[in-house]
Amino acid sequence: MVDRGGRYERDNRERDRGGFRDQGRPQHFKKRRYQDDDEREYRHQRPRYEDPMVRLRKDVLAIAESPLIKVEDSIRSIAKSLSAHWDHEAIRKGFVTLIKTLVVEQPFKIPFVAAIVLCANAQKHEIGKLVLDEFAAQLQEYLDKCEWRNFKLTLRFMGSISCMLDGEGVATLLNDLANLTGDLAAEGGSSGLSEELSFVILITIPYILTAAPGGITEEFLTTLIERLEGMQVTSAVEPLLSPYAGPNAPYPPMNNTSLLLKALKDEAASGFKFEILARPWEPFLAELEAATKHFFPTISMPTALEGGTIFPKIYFSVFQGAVHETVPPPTSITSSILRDSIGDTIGLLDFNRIACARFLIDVDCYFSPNAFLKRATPFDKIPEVAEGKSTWKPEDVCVDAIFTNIFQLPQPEHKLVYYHATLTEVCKLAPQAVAPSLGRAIRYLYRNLESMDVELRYRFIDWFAHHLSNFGYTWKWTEWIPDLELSKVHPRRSFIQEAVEKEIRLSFANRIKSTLPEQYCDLVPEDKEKELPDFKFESDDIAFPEEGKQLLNLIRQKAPNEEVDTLMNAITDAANNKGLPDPSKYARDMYMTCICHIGAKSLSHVLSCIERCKDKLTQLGQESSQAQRQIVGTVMRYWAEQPGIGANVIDKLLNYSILTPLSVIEWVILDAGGEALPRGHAWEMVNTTTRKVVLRTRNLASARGEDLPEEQIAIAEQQHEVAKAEQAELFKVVMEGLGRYEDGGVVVGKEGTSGEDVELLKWWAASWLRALKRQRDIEEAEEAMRVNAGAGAGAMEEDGEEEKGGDENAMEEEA
Amino acid sequence: MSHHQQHQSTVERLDRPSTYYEKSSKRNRDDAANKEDPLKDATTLYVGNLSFYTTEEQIHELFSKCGEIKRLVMGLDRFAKTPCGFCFVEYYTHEDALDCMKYIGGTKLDERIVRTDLDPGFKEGRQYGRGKSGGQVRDEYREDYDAGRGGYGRSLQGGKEMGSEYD
Repeated sequence: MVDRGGRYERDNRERDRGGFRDQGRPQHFKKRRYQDDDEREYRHQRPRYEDPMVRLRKDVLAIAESPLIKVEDSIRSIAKSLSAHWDHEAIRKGFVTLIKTLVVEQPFKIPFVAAIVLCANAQKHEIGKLVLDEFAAQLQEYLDKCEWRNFKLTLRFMGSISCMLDGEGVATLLNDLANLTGDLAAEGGSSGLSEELSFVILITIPYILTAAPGGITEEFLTTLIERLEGMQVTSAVEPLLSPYAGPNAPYPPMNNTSLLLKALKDEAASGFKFEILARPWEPFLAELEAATKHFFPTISMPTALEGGTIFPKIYFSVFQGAVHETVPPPTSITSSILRDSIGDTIGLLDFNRIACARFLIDVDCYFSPNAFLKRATPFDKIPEVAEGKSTWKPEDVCVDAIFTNIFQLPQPEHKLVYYHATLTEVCKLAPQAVAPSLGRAIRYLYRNLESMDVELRYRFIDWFAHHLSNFGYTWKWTEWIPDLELSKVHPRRSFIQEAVEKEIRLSFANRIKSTLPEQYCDLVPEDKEKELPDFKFESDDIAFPEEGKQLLNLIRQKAPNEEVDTLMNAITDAANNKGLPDPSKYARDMYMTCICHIGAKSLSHVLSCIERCKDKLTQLGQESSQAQRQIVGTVMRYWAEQPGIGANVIDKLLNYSILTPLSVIEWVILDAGGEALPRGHAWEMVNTTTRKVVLRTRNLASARGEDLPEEQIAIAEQQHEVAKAEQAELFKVVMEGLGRYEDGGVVVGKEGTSGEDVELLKWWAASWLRALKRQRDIEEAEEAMRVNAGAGAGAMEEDGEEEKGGDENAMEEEA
Repeated sequence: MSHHQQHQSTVERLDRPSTYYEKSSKRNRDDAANKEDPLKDATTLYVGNLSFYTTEEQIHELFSKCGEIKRLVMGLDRFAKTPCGFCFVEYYTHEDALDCMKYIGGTKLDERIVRTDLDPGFKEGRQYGRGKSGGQVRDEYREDYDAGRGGYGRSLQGGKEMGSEYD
C-alpha cells in the first residue's frame, strides 16, 4: 500500500495473501494466483541495474521505519550515495523535490531527513546550500499563500538543520513572525490567525533547540516566549467550543496554544530538555562541527493575509485521570509535541488512511528510543513493565489523537468518516494492541456523557455504531445492563438506545438483536422487524378509515387528479360537518400517509412517488400556516419505529421545496417537543436542516464577491439578504423554543412525567441550546468578517460548493 | 491521466480510479491521450461486492457520511429485477466522490468489504447485470459459496436454473 521500499513490499504481499481477498477461494485458484505473483516478482523485481534515483527514493522514504535497521547506518549510507551522485541533475532535483514533499506528508520523519542533509552537507557543502535555498523558496511560497501547516513543517525542517546555519539562522524569521503576530493581535485577533501563528512559532522552538543547542540562545527564546504570551487574545467563540460543559466536566477547557506556551515556560525554567524528540544526528556530531555553514536566506513577510477563520484548538483526551498515566499530561511539553506531530500526520494523510494507520502504529519509531512503553503492553501490566520509566502507551497516544479530531468543535479538518475509517484501520493492523485502548476510550466517553456537548454526543453515537459495524457488532453490552433501568431520557440510557438505532440503520433489526444480550430486547421491538410499517387506515379506530384505503388505491393506480381532489374535498367537508377543528388536516395527513406507504419499500420508491405527486404536495403544504409542520408530523408518525428513514424522507421533501426549513425545525422543537430532545433523529433533523440553510447563505454570500455583471450582483445581494433573514428567523425559533424548555416557561414532558425526568429534559434543552447557539454565533461572526473583508481588500474566496437543488433529485423510476 | 501528475506523493493515493476503468478505456487509447479525462469531475461511484440483501437505506446510511447523495441506483438482475450486488452512488460534488473513495472504499457495509470506483456517470441500462443469467458476470462462475450473493456461481448450480430464460 505504501511506497516504502522493497524491503517492505514482500511483507505487504504476505499480508495481502492472508487478507480478506482470498478467503473462501478454492485452493487451485489461490495457487494459480501465487504462481502469477511469483513469476512477476522474478521477472520485474530483480533488475540488474537499479536507477540510483529509484534506490535513493526507496531508502529516503524508508528512513526510520524499521526498528531492525540502525537509523544511523541508513543516514550514513544515504548521505554517502547522495554525495557520490550529486553531479547528476536528476539526483539533485529528485532528492530536493522528494524531501520537500516528505516533510509536508510525513512529519514524523523530519528529524531523520534533517540528519541526512546535515551528514551529506558535511561531505559536500553544495548539498546543504542547494537544500537550504530550495527550502527557503518553498517556505516563502507557503507563507505567501498562507498555508500554515506546510509553512510550520517546512520551518521545522529548517530549524532541524540549524547546526549548519550561519549567523542568526531562523532567529530573524521567528522575530519577524512574532511582529506579525503582534500586529494581528493588536487588531483584535478575531480571525484566529494570531493564535495560529503563535502556535507555529512556539512549536518550532523545541526542534531548533534540540538540533542546535546553543545555536540560538535560550535567552532569545525565553524573550520570544514572553513576547508571545503578551499577545494572547481569547476568541469570543472559544467558550462555546469546549467539549464538556457543566459542573461534572472531567477536566476544564484548555486551549492548545495556551498549553504549549505554559509548557515552554516550564521548560525554560528547567533548562529546555525536550526528551521526547529523536536526535538522529548525534552519532555524527564530530563530522558536523567541521562542516561548512550557510547563511539563512531572507524570508519576507506576506503582504496580504488570506483565508477564513481559524478556530482555537481545544484539548481533548479520552484517557485523563486513569490509574496509570498512559498519555502525557496536557500541561507537559511532551504532550504538545506529540499531539501536534501526530495530529499533522492524521491531517495530512487523509488520502491514504491505511498508510496513516501504519504510521500511527509505528509512532514509537520516530521519537526518542525510550519515549514509550513497549507496544501492546496490557493496561494492568504497566507498572511492572515500565519499571519507573515512561508509561506512555503508544496505542493510547494515537487513539487519543484520532478522538481529538472526532471531538473537535466546530468541525474537524476532514469529514468525520475519515477518522472513523482510520480508527478501523488501526484496529485492523494491531487488533490486540488497539482494541483494549478503544475499549477504555469508549468507557471514558460513556462515563462523561452527562457533560458532553450534544453535537459531540451525536458524533460519539455515529462513530460507535459505524465502528461496530466494521467488527461484527461485537461489544461488551453486558456491562451496561444496569443502565437499562435508567429513565429513557437519561443521557446514558438514551445513548444505548440511539446507538442501537444507528446500528439497525447500518444493518437490520434482526441482525442487531442477535448481537445483544436478552436484557436489551425491549430496545428492538418486533415492530422494527416488520418489512413495512402498518397503514393506519387499515385499523378502524381512526377517522375516515374507508376513505384512507380508497385514497391509497387512487394514488397507487395513478388516478386522475380530479378523482383524488374529489375524494379529499369530500373528507374535508365531512370533517367540517362534524365540527372537527382544522378540518383540512385529515385529508392532508391521509395523502402524505399514502405516499409514505406506497413508497415504503425503498428510498427510490418514495422518491419516485414524491416526484409524481410533488405539485399536489406543494399545494397541500400551502393550505395553512401549520400545513407543512403537519406533513412533517405525518411522515414521522408513519416511520415512528424507524425514525431515521422518516428523517431521510423529510430531507428529500426539503430538497423539493415542498417543506421549508422552518417547518421542519418547528415540528421538532415545538411539536415533537421536549421528549424528542434525547432522540438522535431529532438532532439529526435539526442539524441537517440548519446546516443546509447556513450553507445556502454562505454560497450566496460568496456569489456577491464573484466577477459578475452588476445586475446579477444586485440579485445575489438581494437573495443573500433574504437568506440571511430566513436564517435569523430559523435560529430565533430554535432559541426561543429551547429557551422556554430550559427555563421551565413551558413544561417539558407529558403530564405525569417525573420530576427527575423534567430536570433531565431541561438539561437536554440547555445542551441543544448551547450547540445551536454555537452554530448561530459562528455564522454571524463569519458574516461580520466577510463584510469587513469586502470593505477592505475585496471579498475573500469561499469554497464554491455546488448549490443543492431539489429538482435534480429525481430518481430512476423502478419497475 | 492529467490529475495523476500534480506531484508525486510519498504515499499512494486511494482516490485514484482502479485499473478496471483504465483497462476498459484502453481500447481507444490513441485518441484517449488527447481527450480530457472523463473522471476529472466525476461525482458518481460504482459500488461493488454488496450483498444481494443490502437495502438502499443501508447504502444511504453509510455513503451519506461523505456528503449528501444526489441519486442512488441499485444494480438489478436483468431478468428478475432484484438487487444483484452492486449500485451507483451519485454525489453533488467531485470532492465528495473522492472522499468516498478514500474513506469508504475497502470498509464494511452489511459486514462485507465494499469496493468503490470512480465512474463517469450512470446511464440508463447500466443498472442491469451483464452476466448470462441476469446478475453480475462475477457471480456466474464463482466457485466459492457466498451466502450474501446467492450461494455458488449460477452456472455451477446445476441444470435447474440453466435455461430458465426459455420458460
